[in-house]
Amino acid sequence: MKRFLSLLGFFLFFISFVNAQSGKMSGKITESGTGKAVSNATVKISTLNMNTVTDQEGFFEIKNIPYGKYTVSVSSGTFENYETSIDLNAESVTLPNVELKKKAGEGEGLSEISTIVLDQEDENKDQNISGLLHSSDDIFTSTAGYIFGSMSFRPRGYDADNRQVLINGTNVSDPENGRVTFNDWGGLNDAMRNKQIYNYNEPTPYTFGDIGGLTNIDTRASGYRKQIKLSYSLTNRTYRDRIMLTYATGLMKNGWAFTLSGSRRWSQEGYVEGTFYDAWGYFLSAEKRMGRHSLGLTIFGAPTKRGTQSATVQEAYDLSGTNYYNPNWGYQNGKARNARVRANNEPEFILNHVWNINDKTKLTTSANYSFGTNSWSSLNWYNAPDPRPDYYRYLPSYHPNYVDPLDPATQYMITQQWQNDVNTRQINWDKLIEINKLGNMEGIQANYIVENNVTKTSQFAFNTVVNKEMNPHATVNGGLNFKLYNGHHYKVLDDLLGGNYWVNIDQFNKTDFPGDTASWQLDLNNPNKIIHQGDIFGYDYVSHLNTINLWGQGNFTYNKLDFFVAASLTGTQFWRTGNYRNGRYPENSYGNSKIFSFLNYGVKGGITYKITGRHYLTFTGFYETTPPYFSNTFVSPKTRNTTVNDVKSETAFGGDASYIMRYPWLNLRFTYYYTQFLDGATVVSYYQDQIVKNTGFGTDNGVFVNNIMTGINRVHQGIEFGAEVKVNKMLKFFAVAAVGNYIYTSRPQTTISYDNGSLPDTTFTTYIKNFYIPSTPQTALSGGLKFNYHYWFLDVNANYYDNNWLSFTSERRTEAAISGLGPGDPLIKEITQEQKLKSGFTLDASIGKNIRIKYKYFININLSVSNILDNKDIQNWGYEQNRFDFVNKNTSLFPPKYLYYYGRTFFLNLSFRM
Amino acid sequence: MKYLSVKKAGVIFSTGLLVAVIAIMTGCVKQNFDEPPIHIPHYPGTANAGIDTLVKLYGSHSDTMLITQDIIIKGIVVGNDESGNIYKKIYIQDETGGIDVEIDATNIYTLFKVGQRVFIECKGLYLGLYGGALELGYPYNGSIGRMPSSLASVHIFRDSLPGKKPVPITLDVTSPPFFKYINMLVAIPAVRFQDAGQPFVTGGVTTSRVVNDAEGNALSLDGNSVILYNSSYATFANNLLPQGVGTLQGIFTVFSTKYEFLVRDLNDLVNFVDTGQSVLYQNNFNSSPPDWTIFTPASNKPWAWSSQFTCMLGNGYLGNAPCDTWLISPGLDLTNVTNSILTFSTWTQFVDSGLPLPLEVKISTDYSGSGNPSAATWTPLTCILPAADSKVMTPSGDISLSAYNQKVYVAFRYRSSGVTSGTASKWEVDTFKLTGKKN
Repeated sequence: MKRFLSLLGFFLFFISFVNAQSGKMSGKITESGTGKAVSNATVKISTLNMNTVTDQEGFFEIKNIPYGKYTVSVSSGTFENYETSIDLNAESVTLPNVELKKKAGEGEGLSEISTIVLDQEDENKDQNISGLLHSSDDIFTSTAGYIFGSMSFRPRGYDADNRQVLINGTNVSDPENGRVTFNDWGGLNDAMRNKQIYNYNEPTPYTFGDIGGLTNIDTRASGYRKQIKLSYSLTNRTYRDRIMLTYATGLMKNGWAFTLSGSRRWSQEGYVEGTFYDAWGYFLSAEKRMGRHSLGLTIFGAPTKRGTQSATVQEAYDLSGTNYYNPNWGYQNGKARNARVRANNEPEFILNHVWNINDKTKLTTSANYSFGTNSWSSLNWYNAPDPRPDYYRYLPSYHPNYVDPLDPATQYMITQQWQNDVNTRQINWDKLIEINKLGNMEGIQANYIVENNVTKTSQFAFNTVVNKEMNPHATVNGGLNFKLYNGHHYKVLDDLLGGNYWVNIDQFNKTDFPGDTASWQLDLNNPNKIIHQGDIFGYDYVSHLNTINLWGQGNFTYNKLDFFVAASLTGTQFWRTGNYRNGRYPENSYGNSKIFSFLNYGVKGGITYKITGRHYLTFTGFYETTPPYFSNTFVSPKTRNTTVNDVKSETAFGGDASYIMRYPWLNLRFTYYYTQFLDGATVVSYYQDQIVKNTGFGTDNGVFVNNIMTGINRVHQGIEFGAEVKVNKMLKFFAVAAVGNYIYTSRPQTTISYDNGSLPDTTFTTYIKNFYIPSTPQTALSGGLKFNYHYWFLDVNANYYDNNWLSFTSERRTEAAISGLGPGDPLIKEITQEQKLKSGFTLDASIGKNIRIKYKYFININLSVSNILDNKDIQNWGYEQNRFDFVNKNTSLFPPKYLYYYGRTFFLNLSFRM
Repeated sequence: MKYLSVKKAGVIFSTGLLVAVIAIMTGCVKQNFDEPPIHIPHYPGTANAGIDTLVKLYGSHSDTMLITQDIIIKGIVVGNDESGNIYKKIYIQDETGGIDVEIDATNIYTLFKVGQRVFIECKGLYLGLYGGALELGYPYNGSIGRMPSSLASVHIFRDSLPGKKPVPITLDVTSPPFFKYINMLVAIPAVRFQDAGQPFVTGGVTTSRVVNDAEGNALSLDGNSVILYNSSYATFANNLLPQGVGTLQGIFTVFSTKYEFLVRDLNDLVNFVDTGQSVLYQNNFNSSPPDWTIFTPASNKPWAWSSQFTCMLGNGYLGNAPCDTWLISPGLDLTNVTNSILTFSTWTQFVDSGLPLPLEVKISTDYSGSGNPSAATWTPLTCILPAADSKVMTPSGDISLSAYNQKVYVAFRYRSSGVTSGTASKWEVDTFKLTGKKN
């Protein structure tokens, strides 16, 4: 509340302060044929890096333009691109009326959908979120972004880290895993609206890019249309309400531009039971133009707290009667409390400088600093029953395995308890607190606590890029950037739940090495430390990561042929600093690890052959090596400096070929792509109940294990198809298809490393050759229509997803997993076969209306409804549990966990702008 | 393009502010949680039977038995799984007895603390014997096993907060029978461990440790040996069994012909004091003792070893003359020994009317070690002997030999006044033991 008021105060302050006048290039953009105004079109003077968007009336203006000859380009997601030249030699130049040819119709509402997709990125697969940030000119890309994105669709099956997001030219993904931290600017949709999107291997003027494409968000204040905008949204997805307030001055005569934006998103409970959403967003951008120089400062942040949903087993969904059952919450004193709260607050400061050295040469330099924390809470327990309601032993299915014979009455009773008693079905917080208080009477440590797994990051990045037009046929781009990052990883005791204290020891080691008290110590430097609320405990280490990158690119344009070549060289180094001396690894845990250094390179190039102005052929190809991530190098960074044996860069190469058709009535792209990845690695950690010993099978105490897979080779190939047909001024149809074939092509080596070293590491071959790459639909189809009439917009689309495979565990694809089974034993198939997730069909629609009042006030109302048919049986994502019953080979003991695509949801957006 | 006037901006922002304030006031996400007050459980019903009812109900049943009667018992938790020595069960007891309640759950102690009063609605649960101990649970593979934890939650109810730790029942080892204490919290004073100084558990597997009496003799109750039963999962599994003598507490249970003690934690080993006392010499006369000297000045009825009773037997009845026979121990070296204590036991039958004291116990420091004892000086030892014709094996009581610091010989001199009935008695000597602290 306080925060919001101070934001408002800021706005009022700036309104009284700012006083702007004319002096500009202005004009009006209309739709060819109808003469209707085109709003939200981007008008850009590329060489000056100046842009703006048209208002509801189609008007635009760009101020403080130095005299000179420029190419002005106009683009809008729904129209064909337009380019014209101007000679700016007067204080105010009006561009002749620009008529854009309609390519496809997109209301403001649709771009809202794509932003919702971002907000909706779900906690457990937080990092898997796909979805390009915004619609672009390409019908396939825009559809993949805003429709497929909600279905865990990853374009071309690439990992999330193969896509880059830049803000003002600087890569803002998480250096530890390469993934984009969308949360850091969640809710700031208006402020993050100016984007340039580049597909796959397309050349970009900002950086070498990555094979999954690139999005640059431009936050410089002069890029925002002068406006005051208030919008309110009501939805039933992860949050319920959203307010956004944005004020932008546009570029003023004095050369200054300011943009302020604030947002609030919240819900006491989202679509899924027990989830809550509590997010703020703030954004400030200031820019000063001085002749050929522009200096800008952007500050933004989005403190966000969310109660999350976790995937669980089908049995739990069936018992609760809904595929949106959430095991993460329960009642405490009558109020719903979520145990898995994700919080992040990582404000970012960006200083950037643009220097138009001359009409042909531009130098863009930026310095970024960001810091903050992101954390994930969870329950922890000591000498106490597992508090998670969906723990496998609490489910009715566990009992027939155990109680023999189980009479139907008892089974029925267990089922009834699950179905009818919310304290059985959900976390029983009151009981946890009661147990802690009973423990207090005995003076023992808390049995249950809530802990926060925190990553505290700080990052400095510097980036400079030069863009130079050598001649009308050639442009060169090049740049240098470096990044210094460190991430402090630790746990904080968040809530003792009525208990008195906690002791900083490893309880698994206490079981495994009962006599050896030194080995129980998480930190030998502070043995048996008593932990209270707010104290750091559990693990404590810092990841250091520095990179430096140099790249260059040439773009060449000729009458029939365009082509480009680009190359990149990257130096990476990282190391670990342990702040704890682990009792099991006293000599290999405290202090700095070895420093790992890698030198990597990438080259890419492409050709566009213009058969005619209507038909194009493009070919691109690339070869690159990427360093391993910190998290794929250290076997168990929480405890020690040990790394995987063969720390290697991954190699990727491939290319694509496209055929593109552009007619006024038809816009089509057909692409075939092929990419190979070699020598990939992954590390996953989990608790293993039973251990396969070297000598065979045996049960033992459970232990925390790290599963390291190296030598992963993959092939991703497939086709992309997108077409849009304009029937008449009002009606268009579109169809897109992504049919991929992403498979593993090697038998990687899996090493199981026991966290506490209670057994020696074992390495075995993982038989996953020709397995499908999981966690993305390999087939995604969509088709629909777009209709507009007198500022009414209606979009309807039908979508189909298939070939989405369950994320699998390597331990089940080993000799050990099927040893003892004879040839042809049906169990072999059951154990090793990969499982396909349920395919899905959804129908979405959106309807909207733009209203103009006295040419001053603009109101937009938009309602979009997703999954209208309320199909609640689409498995969005899932994974096999890493636990496997090696002894009885019972695959149903630890069945897979799934997340389901939301049923019918709506998003109502009202915005008011002046 | 027109520019905003301050007035218009004011209108817009008043509206914006109003909307925002209303939305935020109604939209604050509350994430502060009250800590609930401590919950005091209460069972609304009453008990209608003692735990012994279950014992009687089961009677001599041979397999699992479903309880069909509305039996509600009330008891106090005396043992739980806190230390890991007891696993997936709790022991509750009342004045009438104790029972092993089998629950398929771990860390039951978190709610069922020792001292917790519980009510159990027994109807629908099963009784069965495991190794001789009665268990309340649920069938598993045809025998008694653990009840599913969800079943436990609708049969077992806590009542009030945990009370004081229950005080164990002290067993008098001389007052059998003991079977009635099965599944109860008991204490035996003055025991020592045969494997004192060794860990509770060796080899990472459940380990049994023999319980001896203070003197180091195997404890026997109801003819059953007594062991300490230690799980490898016990938190104290690697601790060492204490030396010396103390009181052993724990859950008293049985497996076949062994009584077992389950200690709940190290506090169940009370006041173990290591006096340093050790057995210097012991002979239970389980076979004829080659190291003892028998010298018989008169009669053809010398001391003899009885294979029937495994003891030494003196009996002058039907001899060729009134009897005088000496049973002399081997030399017992008390050099540098303090607190030396001699014990033995004797038994007698028949009355020798001519001789009020047919058995004399004597000690000598100058006996040669063989041959006629008459050359040596013999001093009588004060001890407890059975009354004539009492036929009770009678411990001698502790006979202090602290006065001696050299090699000594202990002799049992048996005599009879005649050879006929009424003039000869029969004597047995057994369990001859010397303890002391070697310096």
